[in-house]
Amino acid sequence: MRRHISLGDLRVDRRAVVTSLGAALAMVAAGSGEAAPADFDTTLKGLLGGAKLEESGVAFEIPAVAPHGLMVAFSVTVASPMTEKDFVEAIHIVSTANKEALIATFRFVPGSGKAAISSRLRLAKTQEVLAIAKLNTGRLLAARKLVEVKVGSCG
Amino acid sequence: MTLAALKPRLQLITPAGGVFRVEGGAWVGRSASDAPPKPGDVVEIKAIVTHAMENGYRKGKDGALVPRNLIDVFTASLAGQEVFRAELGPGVSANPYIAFFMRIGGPGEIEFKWHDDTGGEVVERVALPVASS
Repeated sequence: MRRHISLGDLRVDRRAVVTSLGAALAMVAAGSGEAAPADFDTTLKGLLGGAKLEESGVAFEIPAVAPHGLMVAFSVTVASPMTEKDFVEAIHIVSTANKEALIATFRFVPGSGKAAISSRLRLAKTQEVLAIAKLNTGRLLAARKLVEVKVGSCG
Repeated sequence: MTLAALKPRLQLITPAGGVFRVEGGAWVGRSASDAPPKPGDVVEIKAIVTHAMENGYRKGKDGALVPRNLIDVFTASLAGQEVFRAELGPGVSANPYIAFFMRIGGPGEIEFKWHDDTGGEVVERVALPVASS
């Protein structure tokens, strides 16, 4: 089982992932000829706004292996009563290695009834993807999954 | 791709398992046994639209970059109030598919709106199928 490192230190974690995947990932990265995804750090910082991510409460389903990065189905569900006092405001999907890190933001109101979405995304290469839920109280919940991409997409 | 080429397809699934799709501007049940949602039900909506979601990084046959054109915003409103909004980036696949939920009140209209980078919009308005009781 993959060891999880605190979400507060994603920079370190990304390095750890690269190390653990070794030669296979290095080949993919070299083949793509792309610069480091600087957008991830900036995007994450912007979404957090100084708050801390709690790695809990978000059910994030996405395949561990994607034959092609053009279309990867995923779904996110956040357990919430969706009342005026307690609801999920937004779910952000964030890529750690695409050129543009913010894949999508889904926004809810109590009348949404349920904080859950399904969609399909593009992945440029093997990477971790984050699902970050922002509650109306300001709390930020998150889950992340590593997706091995066999053939990348430009995203 | 012109916006006229967009072909939205919409499906509504009730908690009881009833399945409806939009046909000719109205929700049509999959079969006669599909009961419409009751007030208070949280229904799932599945929405898909035909669109290339050009990310602006792809080169065309002439070697020039194909201009960026994404469906940047999709919204769903119930009786005039927005209940769901999706802001999409280039990392969303072509022909964007979005499934989400909404709590049904009384009778009313759902409005679905897709907006793309060219400023064009496709709007679909459908009266809710709601059980009378």
